[in-house]
Amino acid sequence: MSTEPLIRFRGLRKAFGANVVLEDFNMDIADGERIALIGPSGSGKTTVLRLLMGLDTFDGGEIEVGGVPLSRPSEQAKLARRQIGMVFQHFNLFPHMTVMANVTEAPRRVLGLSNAEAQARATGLLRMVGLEAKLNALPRQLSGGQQQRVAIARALAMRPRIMLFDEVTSALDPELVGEVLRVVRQLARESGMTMLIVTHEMSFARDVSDRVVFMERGRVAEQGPPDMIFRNPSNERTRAFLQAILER
Amino acid sequence: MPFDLAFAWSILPDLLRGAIVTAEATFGGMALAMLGGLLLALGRRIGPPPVAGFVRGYISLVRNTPLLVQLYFIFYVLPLAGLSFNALGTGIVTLGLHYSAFLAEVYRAGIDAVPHGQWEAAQALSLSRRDTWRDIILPQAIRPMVPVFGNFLIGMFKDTPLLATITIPEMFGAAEQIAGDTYRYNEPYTLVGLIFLLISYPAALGVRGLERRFGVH
Ligand SMILES: Nc1ncnc2c1ncn2[C@@H]1O[C@H](COP(=O)(O)OP(=O)(O)OP(=O)(O)O)[C@@H](O)[C@H]1O
Ligand SMILES: [Mg+2]
Repeated sequence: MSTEPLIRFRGLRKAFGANVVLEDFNMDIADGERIALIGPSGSGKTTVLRLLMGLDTFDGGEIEVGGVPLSRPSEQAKLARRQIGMVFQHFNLFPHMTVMANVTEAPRRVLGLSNAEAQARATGLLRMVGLEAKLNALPRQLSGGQQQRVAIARALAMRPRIMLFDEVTSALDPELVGEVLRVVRQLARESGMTMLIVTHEMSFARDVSDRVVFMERGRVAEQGPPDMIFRNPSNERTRAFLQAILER
Repeated sequence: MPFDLAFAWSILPDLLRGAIVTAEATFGGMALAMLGGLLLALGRRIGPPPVAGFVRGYISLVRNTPLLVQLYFIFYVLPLAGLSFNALGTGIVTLGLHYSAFLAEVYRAGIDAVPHGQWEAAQALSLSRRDTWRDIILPQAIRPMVPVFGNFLIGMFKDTPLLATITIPEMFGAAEQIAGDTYRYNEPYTLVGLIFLLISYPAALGVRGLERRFGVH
């Protein structure tokens, strides 16, 4: 592992009006590392991903990706963000486009791939997520689990170095959760991508990540290898949070 | 008040020739209004402040003055400033300008109805603003607007008799011409009314079909 972190959050601050959501948030992520981000509702997990992706602007501090600061818009920042893919809780597929068009849109428009190249890439990815039979379907003809797998393929089609997953199974019926988690697990094992995974599925967090980060009130309250966090958390809050989740 | 069928039959060709002009004005005006409405909606939403301000002013002006007055203004007043079209051109431009102010609101509502997550998904894929508008936002915004366009098209069709006032020989103008020449009013005006009904009513039924098909589910 190289010494320079791939992603670096330093003193990050974000407020919505008077509601300070992140305050002095710090985290370094190494290239290839897989982080599970856990914590109570409202602790700021989604906000961290959105700021990294550029879906919201932050009020202070800095985020660096590959050494490039993202606080101000620049060509470099744009290119850095192009290396980041994101999968949303509610899939956000383009409903008027077929599965194939969803997956080929950005590679064609942004990377300038030809139709044939983009389709070859999409076909491979859709096979990987088990949906090669659904190329011509519209999103509304698919189950939630299938839609989410298309959304994963769509993000991967940009060949990102970094993938962000925000509670990608929490909008799914319980019987569809497994098929999506399987895909994410496989990526974590085989792709070598840097992954930042927000989840409430603790057993998944445990076996998918190299490091678990427990957030509370906009800060990192505790972090460490999954075994340590789940078996023997040192922070009282972490303990209480895990207890509450396991009892549900 | 007798209705002379033979006379009615004899003037039908003239009226139908007028109906072709009516159709030209309606479709021409609608095409212009759809383009103008889109530009106004985009100008207000993503234009720099002066453009957005101009658009707001334009829309209020057009929506709060009668079509007939706008028609006279463009036909009689603008030529004094050296800006003139032929009569039909004036009619099409006026209908287009007038209805574009209303369609701008329709576009705006359609654009606002596209869920925020669509913008975010596009941004997460690094799509440019332009690609996002063209491929993601507008196709979704316009789909539920199709039946609304249909209703405006029918509305515009029924406004076309106003064009007779600036000498355009559309259907109503043709009827006036016949009435003036022959002093017979019953047949030409009854026929014009019937032709409007025969076109508007099925068109309205068609729009209802479109609503079922394109309505937001
Ligand atoms: N667009 C917004 N406008 C105002 N407040 C917001 C907005 N987005 C998030 N917040 C607030 O920021 C805080 C953190 O939200 P965030 O979504 O990051 O939490 P989270 O850790 O992802 O929670 P959850 O587990 O419920 O998803 C919450 O108090 C939330 O109400
Ligand atoms: Mg969240």
